[in-house]
Amino acid sequence: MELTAEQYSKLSRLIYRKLGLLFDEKKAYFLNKRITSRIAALGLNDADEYLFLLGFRDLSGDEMQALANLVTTNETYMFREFDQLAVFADYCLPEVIAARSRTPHRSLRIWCAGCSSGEEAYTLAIIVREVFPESESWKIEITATDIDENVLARARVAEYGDRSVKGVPTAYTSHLTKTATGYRVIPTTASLVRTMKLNLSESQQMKSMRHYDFIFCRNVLIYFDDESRRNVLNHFYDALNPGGYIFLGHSESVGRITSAFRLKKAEGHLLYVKDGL
Amino acid sequence: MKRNVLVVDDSEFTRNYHSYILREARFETVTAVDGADGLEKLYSRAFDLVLTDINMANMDGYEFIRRVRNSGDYDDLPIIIISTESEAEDKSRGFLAGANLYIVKPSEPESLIANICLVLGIQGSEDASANGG
Amino acid sequence: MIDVELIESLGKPEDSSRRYAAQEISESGDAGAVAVLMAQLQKETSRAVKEAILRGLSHIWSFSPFESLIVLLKDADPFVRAEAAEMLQRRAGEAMESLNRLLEGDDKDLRKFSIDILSQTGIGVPEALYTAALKDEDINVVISAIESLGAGRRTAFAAPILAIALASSQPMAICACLEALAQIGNRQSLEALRARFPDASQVPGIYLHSFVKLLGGTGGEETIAEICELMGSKGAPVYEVAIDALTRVAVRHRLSTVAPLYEDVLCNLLKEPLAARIRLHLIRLLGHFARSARVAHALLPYLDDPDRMLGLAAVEALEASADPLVERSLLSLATTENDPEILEEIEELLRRRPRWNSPPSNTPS
Repeated sequence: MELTAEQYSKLSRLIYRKLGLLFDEKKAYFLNKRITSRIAALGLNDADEYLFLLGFRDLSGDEMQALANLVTTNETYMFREFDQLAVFADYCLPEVIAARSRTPHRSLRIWCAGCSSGEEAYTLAIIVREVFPESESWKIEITATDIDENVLARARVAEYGDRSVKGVPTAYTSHLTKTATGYRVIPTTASLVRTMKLNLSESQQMKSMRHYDFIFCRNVLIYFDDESRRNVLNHFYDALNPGGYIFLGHSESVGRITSAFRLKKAEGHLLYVKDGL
Repeated sequence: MKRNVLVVDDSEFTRNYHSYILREARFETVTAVDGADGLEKLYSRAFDLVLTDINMANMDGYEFIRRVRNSGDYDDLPIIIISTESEAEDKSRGFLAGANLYIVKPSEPESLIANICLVLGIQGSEDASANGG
Repeated sequence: MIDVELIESLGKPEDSSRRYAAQEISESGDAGAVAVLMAQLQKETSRAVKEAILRGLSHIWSFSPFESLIVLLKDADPFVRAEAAEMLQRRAGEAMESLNRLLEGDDKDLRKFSIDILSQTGIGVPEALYTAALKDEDINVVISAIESLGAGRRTAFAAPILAIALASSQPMAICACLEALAQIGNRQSLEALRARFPDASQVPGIYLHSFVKLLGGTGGEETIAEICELMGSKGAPVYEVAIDALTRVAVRHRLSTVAPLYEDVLCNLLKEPLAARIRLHLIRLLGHFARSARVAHALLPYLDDPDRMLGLAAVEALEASADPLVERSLLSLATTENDPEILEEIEELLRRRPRWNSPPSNTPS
């Protein structure tokens, strides 16, 4: 059993509409293999039946969520989705720092939402230290939040195994020190990160988050329903300073979830920014 | 090189149908499911024309056109609205938002192509595949 | 009584203040909430706040906001119309009666909205209303109904849709019918349409893709010839839809062989400059016929294609081949392949492969 080009296109549109996830042509085969397994597991005859189920029978959204779990990888490691981090480092961060430098304030705030065990937060810390040498004299905070206290405890330790650090560019490994059980982020870099327990669905907590220059919430919102996703992004909009950037996973579409942010193109990448800078 | 048209509509069939007409007239097409998708697609490659619906969830056609014009990057990009809405106010809103032409669906294929050629300032389908932008 | 501070917040200049106020008013449970929110909606300029108001309205359970939401389907702002439609769709089960009434009303735009909303739910439109929609005086309502019936797999409506396809002179309606019948039609539908479209090669360009989809969805084995000949006469513009159609026919009729003439057509197509996704689907299609040595040998070069997805597709496509050269190639690839997914597939495939003693067919010269 396989998906025809038309069935794949229909499925991609459905996933985009319901989950805000984008799949480009390169992912076509990857998606096909997992979907055909799922179709077989459900006892369906063909992809048309599955499309019908997803489009018209999945009132609770459970099957769409099962599909989301199938087609997304949950693995977390440092410098995941490198291209997106590169445009952050090479374009967005310098832009915001330059604008801030024209004011009396010497501060920068980044929110790493849904940080899990902290790999992304420390990735951002490494980038800030590398790209912005003056960071030593600025007040910089990377707020790493998660709903799960257990993963936050691991994040606070800032120690990781081989799989988590495999993506760290060789030039940046000086930010890690070898330990008996893995690699620890060095204190001068780790000190940029502050962990905090926070539920993205909890309105009062979200309203208290303010004055951020960047928000990273990558591969987290795919597990939320449509309305919750929009609520979270509206809160993120309020949490950002004018000119601040929002980063979701590279296959998640901000524009599909909310039209609050402005789309801009830089260095061949599509970026979403809060207007007003 | 063929001319590229971005077709924005939340109906899959309508996207396909307009693409069939355009490709038959030797245009290349890229489709988008709503205004937000349309903006992302617009930024991803060069287009000679946009054909957009109005009633779309997430980002409607008027908002899409406004954002395209407000970006400052697409002042000269021709935008045609093609919609089932037929009232005079809808057309006024379309032109105010920045559309070049407003067509009521369904349009006969020959008429749609003639209008597109008019907006692009070309003679016909032979020109569609010559000196594209 | 709604908190006065909340009412005042609706007048504040910051969007976020008005948005939070709208949310809290909708959650207040107050009898006056609907009126307050509807009044704010009329003067509100921010899309985010409008959205919060509309969502708030849909959450107010103690009232029946459906009539308010239906009124909003005629709002001048298409954003409000779309949000109202989405709210109604979420609660279509409860709003069914109101939505069905729209289908019988005088407003063509509301009739179309109603079909569009109801067709997005799993609840379905009563047959009598679809029957009426197919005869609607407004062609856009008819087209929406046709599209909805095809996507919703309402096979009972194949006959009336066929009737429209045969009688209509409106190109968009004809295309909609062909595409719907590709989903819900059968061989009889296709045969009946031969009166209008005797052969794919004679179908006018704008209907061609839809007709090929119909061939794929309803045609018998004999349509393989028609589709392959179409690829030869029309070339690249039809490759993708034709490959899809052939795949559908092969799957539906469980084909494992195809006439040598058409093996050649498909294998030669591999040599054309195809987009990667079209090549991927062609490789998969050829996999149905990989028992043929001609086909298997045409797929072999893709085992180590730089595009590893094509490589993986080729590995899977060669499952049915008992050709010794294929087996040797797979074993060789297993020693050099780095991609873990492809390696896993090769190992599984080698375990599953048939062990035939009969000579392969169509051995190339």
